[in-house]
Amino acid sequence: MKIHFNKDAFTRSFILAGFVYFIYTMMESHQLAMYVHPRFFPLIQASIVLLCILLVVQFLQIFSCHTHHAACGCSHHNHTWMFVPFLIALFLAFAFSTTSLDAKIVDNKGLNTRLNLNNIPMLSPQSKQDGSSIDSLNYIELNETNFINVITRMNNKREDYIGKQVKITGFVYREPTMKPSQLAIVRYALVCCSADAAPFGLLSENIDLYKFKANTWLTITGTIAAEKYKGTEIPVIKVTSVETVDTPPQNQYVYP
Amino acid sequence: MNDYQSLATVSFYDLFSIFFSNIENFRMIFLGIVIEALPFILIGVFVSAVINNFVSEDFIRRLLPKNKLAGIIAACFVGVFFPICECGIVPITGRLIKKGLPVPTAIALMLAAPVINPVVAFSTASAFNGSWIIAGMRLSLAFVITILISLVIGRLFSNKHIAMTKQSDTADLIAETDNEEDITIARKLSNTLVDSCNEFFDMGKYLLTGALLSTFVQTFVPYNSISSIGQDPLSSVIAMMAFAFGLSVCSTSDAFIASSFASTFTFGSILSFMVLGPMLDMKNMIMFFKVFSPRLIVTLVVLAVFFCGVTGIVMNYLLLGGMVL
Repeated sequence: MKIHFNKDAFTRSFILAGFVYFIYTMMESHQLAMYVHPRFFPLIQASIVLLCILLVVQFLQIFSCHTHHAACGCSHHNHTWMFVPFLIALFLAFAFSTTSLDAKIVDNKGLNTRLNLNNIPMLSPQSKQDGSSIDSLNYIELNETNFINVITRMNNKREDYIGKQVKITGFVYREPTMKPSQLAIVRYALVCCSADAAPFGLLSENIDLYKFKANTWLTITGTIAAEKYKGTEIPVIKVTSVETVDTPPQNQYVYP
Repeated sequence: MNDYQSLATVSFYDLFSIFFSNIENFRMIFLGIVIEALPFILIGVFVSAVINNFVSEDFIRRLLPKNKLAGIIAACFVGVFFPICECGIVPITGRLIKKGLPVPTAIALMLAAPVINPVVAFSTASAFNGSWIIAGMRLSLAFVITILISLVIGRLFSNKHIAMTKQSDTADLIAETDNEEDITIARKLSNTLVDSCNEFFDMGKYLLTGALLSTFVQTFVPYNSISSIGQDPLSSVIAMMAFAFGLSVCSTSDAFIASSFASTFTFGSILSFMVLGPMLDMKNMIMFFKVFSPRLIVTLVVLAVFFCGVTGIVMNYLLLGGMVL
């Protein structure tokens, strides 16, 4: 058995270490929730452990080579190009900082920009329940935890909510089909991971709303009414007051 | 000439600037897919390596009944107890046929095990926000299609020699675990870890490439240009099947990619993607050539595409007809 420097094992160790370090720092700095839904956190912690095991295995292979094992990294077809996807991933991970999806993707009309004014696709039935206490309130303040629940209930039991006061914070989102007096006040809802994040919110209406640009963060207070938009009746806020938010939250997502 | 050149430069510059103004969104979406798929690909890789080293083909073969149809049905459920992803299953299938397993039974095992297993059921349900209905549909459709394909192939390829490739290429696939009895537990454990590593990098490159392509489409292809295809009951199915074939993502994590298309593509096309993907993809096809004759491969591809396509299209028309899930 000849001992020699195993280049593939070295590259693999480097890649594994990179992944472990990246995911660990994201978790420590509480930024992981901007990539995936928090319910995946235990699984991701487990995968850090598994990656560490693989890292140890690869690291031990750098200077030694099991000559008789056919599947050994050094014995066959490991071309350098196979590492390219991993290196691209690491480059993207470390060269830029964590951000929330912003209006650029909205401007670009990418696939991710489908506005949901009534329902999140495939929202599980459980999350639509246990909000009956909200129905009886006359003034509702929407926050990170109740955002999706309240809006879903407003759509399902529209007549119960008409005339109620609401306060909602989010960013301005416009579609070509909206009137100048209309804007949607939305948050990105993250169902699984940032790939499925979709703008979700309430249509707001006031003659003065034309002056707010897309992606501006606003806190809107108003009364709920029901109105037709694109053929379906949805809850609409008749706006009574608007405040601009100077420092939007770092994590701009809401989680169903 | 000059005009043409400047036009080309402008459009290239535009693409460049669009790419860089969106790089942060691109990064967030890409890493989101990767981080979420990571636990599942790791589980798949470890389980597959354990099976590779600790479960003998003899053991699996003894569990299968002798009756043809019963054998096929039983083979469909091997994945429930031994969740093997599609990359691990092809060499095992070749090995089993060599050891005397009937070709249709082996095909059933190869097609079903990567879909009908707990890891895929769990990851599909997770990807679709805990929807066991979608996971159930995926698994049961895969079950029905696998049985149909296996029966047709059983009819067409009764002779084992027609089904198998002529050269004994399978030998090098089997060579790895020849003297199983001689290997100590410690040796098996260390082999398992080394196999896990190799498979992680082998699978990882397909997963990352798939995630990159998927992110690219999501970030830069304007929604309006694709929404017409994505919502068409027929062409959406064809597009998603082509996508499944080209993507070659492991069955344990492809549901996450499928779910990221759920809002833009028809439900039938998403189902076709998730049923066809584990049965047939680019990286699988390469391995097929080591085990089966070209005629069998062509038959397999045609049958799989046909059945998955019809399923997706029928599903779309049922949904269009007002059937609500």
